[in-house]
Amino acid sequence: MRFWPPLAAFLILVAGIELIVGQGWVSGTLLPAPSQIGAAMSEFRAELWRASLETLGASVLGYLLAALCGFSLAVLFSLASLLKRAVLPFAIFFQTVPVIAIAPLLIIYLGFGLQTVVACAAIVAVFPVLANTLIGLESIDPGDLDLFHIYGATKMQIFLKLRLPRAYVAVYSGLKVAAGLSVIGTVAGEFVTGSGLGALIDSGRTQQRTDLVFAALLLLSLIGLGLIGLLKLFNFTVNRLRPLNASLKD
Amino acid sequence: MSNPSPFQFHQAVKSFGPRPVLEDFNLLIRPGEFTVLLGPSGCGKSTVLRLLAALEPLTAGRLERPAAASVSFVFQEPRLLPWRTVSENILLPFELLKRPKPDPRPWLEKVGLMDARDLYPHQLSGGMRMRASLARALITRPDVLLLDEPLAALDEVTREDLQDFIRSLWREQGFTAVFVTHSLREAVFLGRRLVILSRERGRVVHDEILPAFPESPETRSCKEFQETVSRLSAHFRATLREPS
Repeated sequence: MRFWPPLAAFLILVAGIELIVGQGWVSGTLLPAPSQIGAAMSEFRAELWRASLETLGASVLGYLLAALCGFSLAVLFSLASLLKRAVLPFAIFFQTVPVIAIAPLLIIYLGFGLQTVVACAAIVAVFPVLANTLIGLESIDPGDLDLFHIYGATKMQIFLKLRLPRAYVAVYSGLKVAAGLSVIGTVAGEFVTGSGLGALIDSGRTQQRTDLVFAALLLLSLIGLGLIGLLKLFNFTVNRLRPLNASLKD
Repeated sequence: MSNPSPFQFHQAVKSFGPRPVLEDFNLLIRPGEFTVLLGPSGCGKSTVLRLLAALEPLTAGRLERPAAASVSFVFQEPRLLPWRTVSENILLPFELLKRPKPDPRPWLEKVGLMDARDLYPHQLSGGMRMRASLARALITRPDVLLLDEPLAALDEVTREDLQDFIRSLWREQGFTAVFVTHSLREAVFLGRRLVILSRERGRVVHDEILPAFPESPETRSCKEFQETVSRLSAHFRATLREPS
């Protein structure tokens, strides 16, 4: 039932664009009709399939790298406040630099291969994981800490039995944001290295093939949605095992 | 079970920033006694409990405490971990103390949560959560049980039910109890000793041994109980009227 409103909106949008392009109110070279996009997908299916797999692979690898680095750094920062104070400002500064500006440097350091694209994806996606995990690990109710202190809990016990499970909701929300960002970072990397869907979009631009550009965009959003869907499945499974999202408010 | 040495505050001072919450505070808590601390909001009742539990250091003065006394704390909220079942929550202290876990079933039976042992806190009512919290505090068989308004958020029926329960547990286990409340009726029903603190700087303005009322549901409506509540309410009102 909850899928009906977005599905209806999508169908109305598709029918609307088909109508306005079909009637010649808007040029098909500027805004391709859905039927043109379908035809482009069929015409370039081999290239789109290959490019999609490349983009998907780079996005997943970049995402996993970002999740691992972001989570590990946040754990380190939460355990060592001096390290946090020394390094976190640079991480925040680094986050403000657009990845497209760093990509040429990455090509010099890493070459034109997959590693540069993965690095671009990871750089864009790492910060939400780091920031959310850190917030989650540090946002502990003082009353819960009192409970642990009454029984003489060690720092490690507090971390493993309280901070980490309490941080889950924040970590999950960071991972969700990072899933979308990793696809954005991947495409930015692909523009520079000339691979994947990013390269096909660039090629469509130079050939004025907006239908190809839209076909690639559609596949990109499917990749992003797929990653977020997988993450939701992961969250559902975790919460079936342990109600980490449960609220005790009446 | 009770430790033979008392807890004793000697001219204790506790300040948060420039504001002293307790000043020249003196109180002796005898082993096995059920002491109720009563007083207006912000008078320092909870601070006394936190000092007894060593959750806060004194600013000045001295707190004598029995060397090996084990202390448990029941908070205003049940403080159950949502990702642990009732049984796992009850056994948490043993994990933290790195002691072998006992069979939780006798305690689950005692607090009436045997059928809820595998449920998670969000699946329990407020009263059931507080019962689980009490079981968690008592399963380690502490010498001293500190209770910081544990029944304040509960409805009247559940509250009276848990008052009966706490009283019977204290009689059975013989621990030293220090109970903080805003309710005079609750204080008279549960306590064997009532200590009223002043609104400002936590001075003890009234300290009295209470009569031992029979353990029965009719106690709350008996004449002697009502008279004791009325008599003590005058002392309590006087502390509320103090200029702040």
